[in-house]
Amino acid sequence: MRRFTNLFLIFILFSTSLKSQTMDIKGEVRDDAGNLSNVVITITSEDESDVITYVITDNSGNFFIKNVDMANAYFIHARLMGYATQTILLDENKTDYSFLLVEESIQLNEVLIKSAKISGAGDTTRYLASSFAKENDITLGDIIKRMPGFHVTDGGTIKYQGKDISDFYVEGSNIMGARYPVAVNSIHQGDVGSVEVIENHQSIKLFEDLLFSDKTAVNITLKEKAKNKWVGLLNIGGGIPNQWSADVNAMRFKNMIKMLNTYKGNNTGNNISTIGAFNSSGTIEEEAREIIEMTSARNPYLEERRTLFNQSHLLSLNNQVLFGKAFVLTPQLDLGKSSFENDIWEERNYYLDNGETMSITTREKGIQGQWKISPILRLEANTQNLYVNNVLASNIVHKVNDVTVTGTYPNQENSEMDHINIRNSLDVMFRRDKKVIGVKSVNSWQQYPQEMQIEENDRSINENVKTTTLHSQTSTSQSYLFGKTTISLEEGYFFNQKQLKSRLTGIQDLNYPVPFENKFEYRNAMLFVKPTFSARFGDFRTSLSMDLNYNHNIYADERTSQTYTKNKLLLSPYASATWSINQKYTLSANGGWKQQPENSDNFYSSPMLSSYPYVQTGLIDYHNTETANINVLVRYKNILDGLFWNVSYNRLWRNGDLMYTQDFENSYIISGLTRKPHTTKLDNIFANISYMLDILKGGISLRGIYSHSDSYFIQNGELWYSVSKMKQLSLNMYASPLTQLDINYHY
Amino acid sequence: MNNQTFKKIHPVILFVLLTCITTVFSQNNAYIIDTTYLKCEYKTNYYTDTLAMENGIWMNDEFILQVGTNTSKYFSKLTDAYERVKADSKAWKVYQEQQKLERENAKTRGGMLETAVLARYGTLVVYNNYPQAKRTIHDAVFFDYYIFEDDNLPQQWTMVPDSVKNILGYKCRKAVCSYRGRDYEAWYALDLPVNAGPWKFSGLPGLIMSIQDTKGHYTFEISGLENTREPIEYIEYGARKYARTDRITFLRTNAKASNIGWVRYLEANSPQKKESDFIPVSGGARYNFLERDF
Repeated sequence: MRRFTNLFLIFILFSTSLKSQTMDIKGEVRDDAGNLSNVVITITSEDESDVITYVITDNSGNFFIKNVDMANAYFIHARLMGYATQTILLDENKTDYSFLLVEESIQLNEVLIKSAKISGAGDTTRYLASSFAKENDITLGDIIKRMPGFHVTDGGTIKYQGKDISDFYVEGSNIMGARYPVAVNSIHQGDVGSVEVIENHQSIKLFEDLLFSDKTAVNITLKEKAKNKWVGLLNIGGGIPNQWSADVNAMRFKNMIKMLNTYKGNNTGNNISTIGAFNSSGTIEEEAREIIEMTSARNPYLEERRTLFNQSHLLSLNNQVLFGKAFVLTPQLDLGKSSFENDIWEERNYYLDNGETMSITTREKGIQGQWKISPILRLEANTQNLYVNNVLASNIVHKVNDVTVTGTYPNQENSEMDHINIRNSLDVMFRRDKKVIGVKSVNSWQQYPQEMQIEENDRSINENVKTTTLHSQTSTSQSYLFGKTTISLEEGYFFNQKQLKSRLTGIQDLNYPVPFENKFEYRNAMLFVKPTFSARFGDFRTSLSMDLNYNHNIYADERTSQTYTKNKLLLSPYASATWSINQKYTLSANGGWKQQPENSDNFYSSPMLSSYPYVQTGLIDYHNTETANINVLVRYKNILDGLFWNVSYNRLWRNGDLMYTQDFENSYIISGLTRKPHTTKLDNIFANISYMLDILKGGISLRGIYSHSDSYFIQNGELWYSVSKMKQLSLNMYASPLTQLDINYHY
Repeated sequence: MNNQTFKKIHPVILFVLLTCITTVFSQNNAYIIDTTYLKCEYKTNYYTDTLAMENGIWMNDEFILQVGTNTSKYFSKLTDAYERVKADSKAWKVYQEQQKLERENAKTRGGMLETAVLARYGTLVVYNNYPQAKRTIHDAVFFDYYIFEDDNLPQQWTMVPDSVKNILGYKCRKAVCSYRGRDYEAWYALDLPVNAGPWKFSGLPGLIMSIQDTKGHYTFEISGLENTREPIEYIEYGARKYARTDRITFLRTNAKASNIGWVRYLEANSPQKKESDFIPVSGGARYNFLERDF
């Protein structure tokens, strides 16, 4: 009995102590001012950092912890930053705890947050080259092609996310400049560490143009083993019959001097002479005119590799030298030689007014040779108040074409031309305190001597043409801000001088005053001011700009010593507006009116031959043309439904005084101009609808284009009016249902 | 001499930015909702192609967490600076000119830009406990900006005993949880009794110093903290057009957008693209979002 009582007592004691193992604890936390929320309540063992359970006080400063295991629980703490921690010893018999916290200064071992100073910005995506390289990859271009978002053309031009990259750096140096495509296919992929893409989404405000007006740059970092020594790539190929190609690259990247030299050659149809070709100018005004036609077999619908029979060589030397920290000098030199074999067959049909059809068939077989030297010197300097970026470039091309023509008018044609081009573009920035003034200046000179000799039947036709252009342009710009509106101003001057000298002998059966000689000069001095006013009112944005230019033109016929002077003030306003109705619909419209002088290239009197039997004539007349256009766009987008559509309508009016003429005289086809004021119109409608399908990770898109335009020309004295219509519909379906599978269908 | 010139530019930019922030209120819709006692900076990383992680394509960003007595705010450092400067046209103009100088400078040194480019980076902004017992989230899909509300509930954490790690000089302990379709591992500092963390993470007895999901797709690492008193503002940036929505609709829209991808999106929205501009691009990013419960 006693034993049983003992057991019973032990059992009761045991069970009560079991019960006292867990209990609910509640309480509140306050300070002088009132309740404290977000206070961390922790239950710990004797070791204060050993947290058994915890809770956080609610908005009323109260807390409630269920089933606290009291076996090890020793302390209850109340902690809040800015207050002294309070610790209370836990009592088995107590379930309610109140804390009154006292403020205390925060003691932190602070790790200060740095201000925004990062290189390359947070928007850098880095691709590790080694992850993308596959066994047969040789060049940098081979691995970039695989990286998502990238597209690399055969020539080496890189597009990222659908747009051209604007800067290409190797180890932070833009040694190649615009010639970077040469490097893309010349750097060995094993030397590349990573490919970095630096994007700038700044231009969200230009959404309606869907242009990222700012740049995407690609920077290639080299592996350590590839720096500070010569590394290179040798790629040689051969084929049957007698086919060869070679790609040699040697580069060295040191701190102060960087060198990247390549040689490329092939006869497999790769036209390397156009890779990174020096782009002589941005404007038509700088171009010296090409009169004599040198056709080469180019079929835009077939791959160049299949239709180009060539022998091409290109040597490209690029170096960059740093002088101290303030100056960088980049000399580059490209030397190229190519020859192309041509075999072209062509048939042209002319429909005459009397119902007859005149048919001319031509077969040209020949060889065209090209030699090219392009030196570029870039100087960049940075001093206290002046930043200078100067590019001096030159392009000297010599072309020779020997052709045997059979067909309607058999003849032997030999032509030769030189194209010499020197251009200097200067970008200067003056800094005064926080103000910056930028000035841009471009000066260029081009000369284009051309010579042609035609042996036809028993006569010999000779032609010598020389066109020269001198161009100079300087401009500067400022901005002024008034609340929500901005006024920008661009002003400058523009000087253009063109000369045309030509001499055509050996033709007797052409009804034009002899001799067939031209000696013309055209000069244009222009001062311009372009104010732009732009404003934003909530969802509505508008801008208005007015191009004002004062032109002083001199047309001179040096053979007859006649000079025509014209002074004119021309106005060209332009306005645009965009209304973002809501997130789905956007409406935008723009329109403008432009006045400009007629093309000065038309100003000459004696005929010139572009190739047998095509004759060109000009007109001693000077006029202005006017064009007006309006454009309306409606856009709908619904991302959640995956549906997008847009429609745009564009109309262009052109009012000119000169009309094209076409005359047939003996065996010649003479194209020229005459004075006949007329207006032509052009209508375009673009529509597009896309629907995205989630399941396939793809979509379907339908595009339509409709174009309607009219034109006038005079043939053999009769006025012809023609209308041309174009309709085009295309369907594109794409899907990427699996990582390794991409499907594209285009109709 | 160039280094000195260069160092002169940085304080100028900062000065401009600072003066602009105070004058920018009039352009943005902003009001103060709390005051900080702690400000933290987190470096975030996420993979854009979680199905092919070994390809090493990762994106990074920097976020600020402002902790106040009642609310906290989590936002992208550079995006905020960008929006503030942009709202003030004068400041924006000066910034653009300075950037132009910067670019010229960079070319001269044959190098890259040294100051951050102000632009829109992470668009996410989280206001915790604002309004009371709720969260307000700002985010974007392409160029569309959304505002929606979420609950303010903390995650359900499980402590991992005997785990200690030193982060930024603080002794941290580990805890794990599952939240909206992902499993997370977090390190919190007991010596920092702050009920806060990056993004929507909270409910631990100390500041969450580092957290990542167990697959390694998303990581948040603290990189700086300071005891500072500055206002926490609720801002609706003047340059943005916001639409109200709810969390699930937003997640669905975002998922749809990532399937579409930037290139397709731009193509679908441009009326005059020629056929030849259709560059075949493999389907959009295949990444799973932070929240997967939609």
